[in-house]
Amino acid sequence: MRRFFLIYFTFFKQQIKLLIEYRMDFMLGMGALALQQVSLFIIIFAVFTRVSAIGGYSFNEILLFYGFSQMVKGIDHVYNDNIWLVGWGKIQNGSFSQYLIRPINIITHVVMERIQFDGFGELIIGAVIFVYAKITLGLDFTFVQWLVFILFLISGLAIFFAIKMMCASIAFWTIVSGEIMTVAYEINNFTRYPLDIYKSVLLKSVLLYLLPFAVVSYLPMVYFLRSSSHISQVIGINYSSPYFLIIFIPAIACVMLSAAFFIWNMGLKRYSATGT
Amino acid sequence: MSLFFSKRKEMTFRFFYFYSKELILKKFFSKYFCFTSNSLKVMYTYRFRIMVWIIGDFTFLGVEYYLWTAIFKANNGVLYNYSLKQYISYLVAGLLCSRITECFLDFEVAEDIKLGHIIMKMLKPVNYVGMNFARHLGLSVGNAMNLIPLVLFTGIFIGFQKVSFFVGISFFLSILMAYIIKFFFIMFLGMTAFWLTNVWGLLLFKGHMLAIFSGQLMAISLFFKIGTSETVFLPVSFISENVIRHFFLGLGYLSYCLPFQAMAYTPAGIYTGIIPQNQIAVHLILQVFWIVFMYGLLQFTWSRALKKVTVLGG
Repeated sequence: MRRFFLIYFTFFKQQIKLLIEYRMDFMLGMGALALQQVSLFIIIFAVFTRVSAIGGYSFNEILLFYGFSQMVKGIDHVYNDNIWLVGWGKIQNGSFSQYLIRPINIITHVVMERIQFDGFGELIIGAVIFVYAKITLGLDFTFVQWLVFILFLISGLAIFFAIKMMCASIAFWTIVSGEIMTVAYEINNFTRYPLDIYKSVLLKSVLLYLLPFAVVSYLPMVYFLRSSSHISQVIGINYSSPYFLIIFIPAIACVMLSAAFFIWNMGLKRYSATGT
Repeated sequence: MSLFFSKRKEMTFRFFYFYSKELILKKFFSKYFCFTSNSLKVMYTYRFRIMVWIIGDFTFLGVEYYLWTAIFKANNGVLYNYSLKQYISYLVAGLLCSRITECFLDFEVAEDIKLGHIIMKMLKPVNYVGMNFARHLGLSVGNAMNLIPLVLFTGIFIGFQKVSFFVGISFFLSILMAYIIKFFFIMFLGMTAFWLTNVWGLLLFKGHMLAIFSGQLMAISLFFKIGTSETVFLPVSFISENVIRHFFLGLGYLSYCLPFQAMAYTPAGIYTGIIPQNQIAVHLILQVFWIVFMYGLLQFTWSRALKKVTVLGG
């Protein structure tokens, strides 16, 4: 464990150096991601000068969903960005082989190699929005609720990790899988807003089971906002136990994660350098 | 470098000298046409990538469709005298316009500059910007073909609006101009790599500026509507109505100061009637202004860059 942090810290130092080299580019990149947040915020804000609720959710509730989803996305963006390169050409140009000859676990190495500071823009704005919405809604968490919140957050991160890894490992077969990754990742845009507004059952099932982004941000927040009867109606599962979601969300995360590791390992066995 | 300059000057001279002769003109076009057909072929080498774009577009439209449906439903089906159908067709038209004018060459130009490949391209007896335009044309043909599923989908489920002859002509003119503005702008952005080297952040920034100021997320006219009419609700209790109105009015004016609205909002707005008929002329004139401005900017940047360029190895 100590070794892990030591190596991580070494990589971290390298990243800082890289950052200083292209200072302007970094500032613009971070500004860009922040701008994206702000522009989406403006849209929601603009709409709510005219209507009082969308799909039964008030402005602050929508912000809560939005802030939380951006927070998870931001954290994921910060620590787990290098895997994009596996999908986008590390296998194609042969640089993936360097992971295989180093005495670190491959996936750990991939994660450690890059820290994407741009993600902090997303994370900070997401957190600010989330905290603001939480305060104005008067949502006070007890200690146990905080624990549940953290469990949901970790499950969400695990799901993001699993989806990205699963799609990246397709590259073991197809050499480049960045496109699949992009599509899968873009689907998370659906979960900026509550699942209630999507009237299509197919879409809901995709967001709940196939690419479970709704489990990342919608279910955790709606757990704190709405009664279980309302939720069961939206997601189409009949349940009565109030603890259902506390089991359901980590369970989905575990399933996704094991599937991702399974595919990744299967791909690794198959991996052969492209010869470039 | 001196070799390059003399050669390039000579080439331009020759072109202008023989410009009227048909044969040379034909040669000129066939030369550039190679780039066009080539870029199209390159695009279709990666067919899977195209699938991804198409799915990405549908995803975007899906989110927007359900979001705005919920919004309009919450407001009894109308939002500032726009109907849901009109607004959805605006969003679709906006997406189509921005896809038609789409240009990814900024990244390629920047990469050329960063890696030094540009020197080899400048040595060729073609104009660098002209060559890129030829390639852009090819990519656009590809883009247009990729839009077929989206157009079909729209035709079946949403339906196309019938427009008058005048609107049709102005739409056509406006999308043509939007295409040129976008191209000049993208070239300019790519060339900033001469100074910035790494442009990833800038390009990302451009993407999000485009999203908000080209009316892709929300029609620009809505900014003015919010700015001029009374707000019904105050979403945030400590921001007064006056501030909100001034903010959105400012946002509206700002988007007319930036070139982005001329790239997608104008054609889409004209087609779907979000821009009323009596304002069409103003928008078209604004687009002409942006073409001139962007052309000047591009010329300026390119000439400055040529003086500055140093390639090590290449």
